[in-house]
Amino acid sequence: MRKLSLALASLLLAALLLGGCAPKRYGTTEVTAVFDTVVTITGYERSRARFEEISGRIKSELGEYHKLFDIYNEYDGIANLRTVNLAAGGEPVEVDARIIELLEFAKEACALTGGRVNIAMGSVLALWHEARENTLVPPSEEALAEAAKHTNIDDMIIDGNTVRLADPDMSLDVGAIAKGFAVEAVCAKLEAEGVTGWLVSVGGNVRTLGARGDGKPWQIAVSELSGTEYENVRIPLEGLSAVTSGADQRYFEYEGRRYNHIIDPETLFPSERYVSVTVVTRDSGLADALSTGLFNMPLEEGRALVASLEGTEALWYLPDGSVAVSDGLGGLLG
Amino acid sequence: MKKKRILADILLVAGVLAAALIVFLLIPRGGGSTVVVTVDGKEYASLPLDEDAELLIESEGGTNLLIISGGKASVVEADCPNQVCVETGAISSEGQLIVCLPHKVVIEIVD
Repeated sequence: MRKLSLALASLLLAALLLGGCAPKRYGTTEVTAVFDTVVTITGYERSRARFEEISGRIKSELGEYHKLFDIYNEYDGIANLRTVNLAAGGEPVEVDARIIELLEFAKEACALTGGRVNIAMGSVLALWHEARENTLVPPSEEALAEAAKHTNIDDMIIDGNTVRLADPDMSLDVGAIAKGFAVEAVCAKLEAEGVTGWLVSVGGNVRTLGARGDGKPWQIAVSELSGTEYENVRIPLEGLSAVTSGADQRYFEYEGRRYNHIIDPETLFPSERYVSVTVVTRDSGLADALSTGLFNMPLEEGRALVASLEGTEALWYLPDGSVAVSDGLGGLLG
Repeated sequence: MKKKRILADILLVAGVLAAALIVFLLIPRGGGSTVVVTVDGKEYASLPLDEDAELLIESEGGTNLLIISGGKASVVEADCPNQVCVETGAISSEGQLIVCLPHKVVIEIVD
């Protein structure tokens, strides 16, 4: 009996020494219809089964958000933002609570950035979308000016669980905020359940849950900075989000000029102030909205905005090759 | 008498540990890395990185030609509009990716 228990005890010791009990790192990367981009999920868990369970949940919940926030496709039995756009000028549309939350957040983001991120710009953005995807010819200034008359976010009227677009020629385009908002909603829920040691990235919208499984912070490289003095910089993230808006990812060329996808609400043309802007803050939705907002804002105004927001840092890559960082970021960089 | 018993115990513990170590060392750990290809979230192919190979990835969006050569994987040809997958170049270490967004193709090196 004693021999047996001794043998079992030493087996246990062997298992501990050789196998260890630290969580292992698992990962998955895929491109699907979900937000039409790359979804990368990394998690430290004790078993592959648990990793699959949680990453499966993340993917399916992101998929639901994608359908609700989609302005291009209809889905059976779902009233999404396309439904809302098609009903512009008509009756209020009853929508899922997650859409109402997104639209309320969009109003806040618009106010915070002085209108630099405006989801009511759908009419203008649709012209640029058509140019990028199909005609490869920029829209005329007249067409843009006409479309810009229908971009007042106050014409988006939220009442309880309904939304109505009062201007029949307006439409919503949530491309600048939807991914970050969805990532935040999904991750915050998991975090509340105690899930930690995870990283979720949806098309460059990075959200971390706690530190890595080995206790060290996640390290984020900004690929848009290659070729600058910040090329090898790593941003440490521990429960924080990082989002980069860049001009070099989606664009088209016409008569030797490059037209990127970030449209300045003031000029109605692609913003050329920066090559990329990266925002680090806790909330992934805020990081997403701010990265676009700062992209459409002069540097000094952006610096002042970032300084006014607690726990928020930013990094601006300017077309002349220089990089500006917010006061708090310098000390963070590794 | 008591000393003998302790010696026997030590031998037993050492024996079990040694056996566990041998089992641990004998479990195959899959030495080389694997190139995993997914299309639209589903696994399309899985190839060893240390064997030269050529794979035409056919998806709804079009085709990407993957070449594995000398322990490196790269997309040498694709009919996608942006050619980001081709411009990415060769990947060889764990965790590195080649992504073709238009074709929903991800090529990843895993251990």
